[in-house]
Amino acid sequence: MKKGFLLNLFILVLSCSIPYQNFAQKREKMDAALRSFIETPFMQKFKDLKLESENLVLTFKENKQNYSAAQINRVKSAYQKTVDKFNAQLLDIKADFMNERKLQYIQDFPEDYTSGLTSDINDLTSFYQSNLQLTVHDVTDATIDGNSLLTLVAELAKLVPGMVTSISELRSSVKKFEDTYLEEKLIVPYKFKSWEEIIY
Amino acid sequence: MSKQSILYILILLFLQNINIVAQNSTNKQLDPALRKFVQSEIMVKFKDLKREAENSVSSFKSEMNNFKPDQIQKVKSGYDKTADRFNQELENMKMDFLNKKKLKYIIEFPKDYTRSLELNFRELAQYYAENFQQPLQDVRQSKEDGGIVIALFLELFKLVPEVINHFNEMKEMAARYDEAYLDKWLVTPFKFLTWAEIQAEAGYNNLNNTNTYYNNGINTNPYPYPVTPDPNAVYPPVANQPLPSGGIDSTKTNNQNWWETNSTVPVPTNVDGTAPVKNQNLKTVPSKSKAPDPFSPAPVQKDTLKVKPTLPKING
Repeated sequence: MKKGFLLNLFILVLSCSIPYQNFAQKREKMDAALRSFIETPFMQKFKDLKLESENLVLTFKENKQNYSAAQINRVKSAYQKTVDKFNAQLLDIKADFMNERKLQYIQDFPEDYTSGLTSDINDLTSFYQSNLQLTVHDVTDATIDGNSLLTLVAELAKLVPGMVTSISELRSSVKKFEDTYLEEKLIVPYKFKSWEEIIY
Repeated sequence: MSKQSILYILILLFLQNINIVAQNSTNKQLDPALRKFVQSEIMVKFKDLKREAENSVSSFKSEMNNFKPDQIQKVKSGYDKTADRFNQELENMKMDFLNKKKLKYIIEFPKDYTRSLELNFRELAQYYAENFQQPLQDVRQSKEDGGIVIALFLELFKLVPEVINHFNEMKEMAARYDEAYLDKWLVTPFKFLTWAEIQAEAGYNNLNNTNTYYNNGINTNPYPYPVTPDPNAVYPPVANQPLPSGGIDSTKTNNQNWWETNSTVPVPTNVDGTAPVKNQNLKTVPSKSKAPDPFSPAPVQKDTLKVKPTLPKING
């Protein structure tokens, strides 16, 4: 009887550990694949962009006694609109990572995906120029010109092909990613902060 | 009958069949879905762009003797490069129609395809401006801003999303399209002509133009250079040719025309340096590749892609 009990216990422990092992293996694969993506020059530039834009807001906030409430609101709204666009782009990338068919499409036709994404980044560049940069330039009388940010966005478009290659490579090890995983590893670290979150 | 002769007959029949299939694909009428696409606004704009570019070349050709060979070469190579790019885009579109997997993806992820097409058109616009429009303006010393072309491109960008609807409509029929069929209906009518295929503008042609190297197919007149100019002829002033500052005609050196001093250009012995004469003997040679007109009225709607077997007529 004792023998039978031990055997049952062993089987129970074993069967419980299998899903955990599977999960750990899957997680390991996802980590390796996402790490190679995050290390692409595109994502590094994206992070630079995020830090630089937050820095711009910080500089503005430090001198906010020089501006009227209306002026501050103008910059705040321009910033918010611009970062919403950038964050939407990040969410689009996340959605693509969670879509098995889309990952397959990227692997099969990387040039199309590259052109599409480049087009999106070009739009982001124009949006930044005509919203945040123009407003900051106007309100601060060109004390803050926002040119460093513009250079970064423009460079981002050139880095798209490498980023797409990385996506098609990761597709061979991971078929699709999970929402919570991407939220933790991709969205939280790369998402642009809101105006209120930027404090000095 | 021996086994070998049966085999020969079979091979012959097979080859004949291949030939018939190939002929059928090009003889097929334009199917309604593809007709709708080639008549769509975006394709009409594409054709307008093609015409604008070809007209610019045509006008340039009719005043070509006013320019130096390197200037002509600059415009010619700019045009040819630009035309190649546009034609490549058409080829890409054709390949997308032929690739079933791609068609599926386009319908599944329309935004990606739209964005990618939009970028391609934007790049084409930039390429057109930098490689053809700019050299043309530089050479002509013209201040034309190419407003029509810019407007056409802007309209083209706006119309890109509608392409997806056409892909959607065509997805079922597309399985029956083959390369020859799409070449006939999609590529040939919209393809930019090469420099050599474009005729100089009718009405005014400078027969003193000795640059036959750049002007293939224009001087079909067997006696292009009159021995003595007609003293009663009235010659229009050369358009778009403001003299450079100082009033010096840069096309002349030491009172000679540039072509007389340029040893690289073949100069016929009877060139007398006279003013351009009106063209009276020039025939306009139709373009080699006669494209079908997808804008012609639609025939009675029926499934024209179905290959009808050609039955032999039985008399009596």
